[in-house]
Amino acid sequence: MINYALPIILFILEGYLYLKVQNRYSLYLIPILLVIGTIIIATSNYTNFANIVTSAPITVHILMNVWVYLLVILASILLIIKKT
Amino acid sequence: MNKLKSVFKFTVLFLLVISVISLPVKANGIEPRANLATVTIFSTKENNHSWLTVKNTSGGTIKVGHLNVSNGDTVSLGTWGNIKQHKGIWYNYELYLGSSKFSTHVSISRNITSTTQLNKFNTTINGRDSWSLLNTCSSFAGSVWDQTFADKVNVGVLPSYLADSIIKLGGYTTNRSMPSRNVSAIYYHTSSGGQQTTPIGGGSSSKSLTDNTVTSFPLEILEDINYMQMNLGK
Repeated sequence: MINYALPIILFILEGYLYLKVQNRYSLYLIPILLVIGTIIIATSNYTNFANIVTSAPITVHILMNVWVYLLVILASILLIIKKT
Repeated sequence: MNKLKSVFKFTVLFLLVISVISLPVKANGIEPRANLATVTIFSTKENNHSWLTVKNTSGGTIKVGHLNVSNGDTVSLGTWGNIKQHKGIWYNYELYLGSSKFSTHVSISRNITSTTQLNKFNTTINGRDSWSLLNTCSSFAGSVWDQTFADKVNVGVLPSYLADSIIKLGGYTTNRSMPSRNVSAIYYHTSSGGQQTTPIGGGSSSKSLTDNTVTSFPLEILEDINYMQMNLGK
C-alpha cells in the first residue's frame, strides 16, 4: 500500500499543482516528499532484512519496494523541467 | 536312469537361472530400488528464498550436482546472490541455517526413480550455477524441478510465485523441518566437476561463525559482525 498508493497519490497532487498552481516552486514539494519516503522505506528495509534470511542482495529487495517512488520522482522532475 | 539325470540337470539349471535373475544387480554400488532419491522443493511465501533438498535413498552413494551424497544423507541446494565468495549454487547452506530461520515456506516432495532421471536432474543443476536478477534462487529451484518431474511448477524470478505454484500442486507441507548440518558441510559449486571448496569453517581465520545468528548478509559480513561483537565485549 505505502509502496505503491502513496507515490501515485503524490504524483496526482503534483499534476494538480502543475495545472492549477502558478508558483513553480510549489512543484518542488512533491519530489522532496517522495525522496524522504524513499529514504524511510530503504532504511526500514535495510534494518528489517538484517533479521530475515534471503538469497538476494539487500539492494534488490530495496529496489523492489521503492521502484514506484523512483519512477514518480523521475516523472515529477520532468514536470518541473517542463514548467520552467 | 538317464531320464532322471536329465530331469535333475534341468532342475538345477532352472534353479540357477531363477536365482541369478532374482539377485539384485549392482551397478556403481547402487542396488536397483524404486527410489534413488527424494527431492523436495521449498519456497518462502515472501520473496526471500527457494531451494531444493535431496535425500539419497538408493542404497549406495549418488552424485548430486558435483557433491557425493552417501546413502541416507540429505543435501540442500540453492543459488545465493549475496555471498561474496560465490554467486551461484551452494550446498547445505540451507541445512546449516535450519528450517526455522526462513520465513514461512511451503514444500513438496517427489522421488527420482531412474538413473536417467537423476542424470537429467544433475545436468540441469550443473548448467545453472549462477545468480542474477533474472536467474534467481526460484528460477534455479523451479527449473531443476521442471526438468526432472512431470508435475511442473511456475518458473519465475520471485520465490512467492514459486510458493503459490507449489500450493496449487497440492499435497504441500508448510514449514517442513530439515536435518541440520554444521558449517564444515557447506560447499559451493565449481565448474570443474568434483571439486568443491570450503571457504568457511575450514579456514585459518580466528573469526568464528555462530550457529544462532540470522542474517541476510551471509558468511563474510556475519564474520565481521561477530568480530565487532568480540571487540565490543573486551
